[in-house]
Amino acid sequence: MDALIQLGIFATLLGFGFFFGRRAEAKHYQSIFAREDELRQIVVSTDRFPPKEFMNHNAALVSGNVVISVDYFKRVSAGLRALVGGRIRSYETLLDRARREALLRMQEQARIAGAEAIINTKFETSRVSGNNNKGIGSIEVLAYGTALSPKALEASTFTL
Amino acid sequence: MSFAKQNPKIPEGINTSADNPLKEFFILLAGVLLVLGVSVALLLLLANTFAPHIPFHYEQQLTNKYGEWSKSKTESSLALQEAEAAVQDLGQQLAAQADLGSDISVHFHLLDQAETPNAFATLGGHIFVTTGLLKEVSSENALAMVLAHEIAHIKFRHPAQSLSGGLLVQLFLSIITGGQNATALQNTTQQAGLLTMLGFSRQMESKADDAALTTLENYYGHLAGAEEFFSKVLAQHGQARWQALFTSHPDLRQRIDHIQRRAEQQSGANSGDNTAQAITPLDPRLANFDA
Repeated sequence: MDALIQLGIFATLLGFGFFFGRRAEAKHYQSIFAREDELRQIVVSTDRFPPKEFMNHNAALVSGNVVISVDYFKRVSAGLRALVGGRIRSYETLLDRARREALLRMQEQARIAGAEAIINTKFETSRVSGNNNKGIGSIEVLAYGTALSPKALEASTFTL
Repeated sequence: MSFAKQNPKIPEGINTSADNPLKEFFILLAGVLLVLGVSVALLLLLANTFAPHIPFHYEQQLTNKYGEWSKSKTESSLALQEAEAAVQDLGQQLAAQADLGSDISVHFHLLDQAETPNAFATLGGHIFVTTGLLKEVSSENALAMVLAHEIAHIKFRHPAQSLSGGLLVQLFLSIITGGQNATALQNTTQQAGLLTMLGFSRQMESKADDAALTTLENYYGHLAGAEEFFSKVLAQHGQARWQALFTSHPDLRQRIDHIQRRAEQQSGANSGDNTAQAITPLDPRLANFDA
């Protein structure tokens, strides 16, 4: 009977994890697609030096970071996968979402600063896990780069 | 070096896959459960094969406190002590007919539980009978059937099989779950030295029934009255006090049919002398027993 109750709790958590996790993921992807289209004009590059036409732009640090939690279903699924090895597909979408969301937030910051492009973009990923590795973990992705925004017109003519 | 006018649209599905995660989950789960099931079945097979070869004195060492426990019941009534002696007498006579291994010995104990008719065999050859059961049997033959059945469990080393199988499986599960099952394992290990009712499989029960009938045949020369107690359990299984016994023996109907079939075969073979089928009355120490 005890085992049955535990199994019931497990199945319920799994069901909740799957349902809400899947819904959150679908909604998040919709938002990512929409905003990527919206921010497509702010070019993101990994080049370390600005190209010629941006030589005279102002440079500023921009960054975007996001923390996304693993849901119970993904965690159990990954646990099963850990027994036999192979791609953990349930975590792949999680990282993909986090990486793209971080980029979008960085682009958003650049747009507010009036930038046209971001160079030298870098990523950092870390794990945020509570409860001594036994709880549901979450990941943080940080994207940062150098935003290049055009100098005010009067200023640039003055220096010429 | 120059920039594109805007970020390119990268096709989806390179870093992720569009497969439904449920599919992967269920394939993995089925695989893991299959492997677990096969491993558990193998472990149980192992236990069933090798447990009967565990020296019987190991079991006795684990359970020797039962003997002291039985002796220390000084406060129990004289009637109870006499009844226990009567059960012990009948049991030992049956055990002599049961073809036990030379190193196996059985000990009988009477439990003062008037409300629950039950009998069970556990490690070390200890057989427990409740006073409730004594009140439910009308003849010695019916009581002898129950005792012979429990003796047969001991003969085939079913308690050792059952416990070592359970222990192996729990040890295995606790290893693969990383100790989450440790409490269950601890409980079972502690039970080894305690007064417990062990669960026996269907095969074990019918094997014990068969051996018990043979014992009764040797002892009485006939099988009349053997199924009485079991018929009673079946007839009254709706009542709460019988529930414990009934849930541990769900296939009683088949077992009674089997006992009756063998009784008929046996009486067919002996059809010449019906006088031999007389049912032996209960020992007065048990018949007059009033808990």
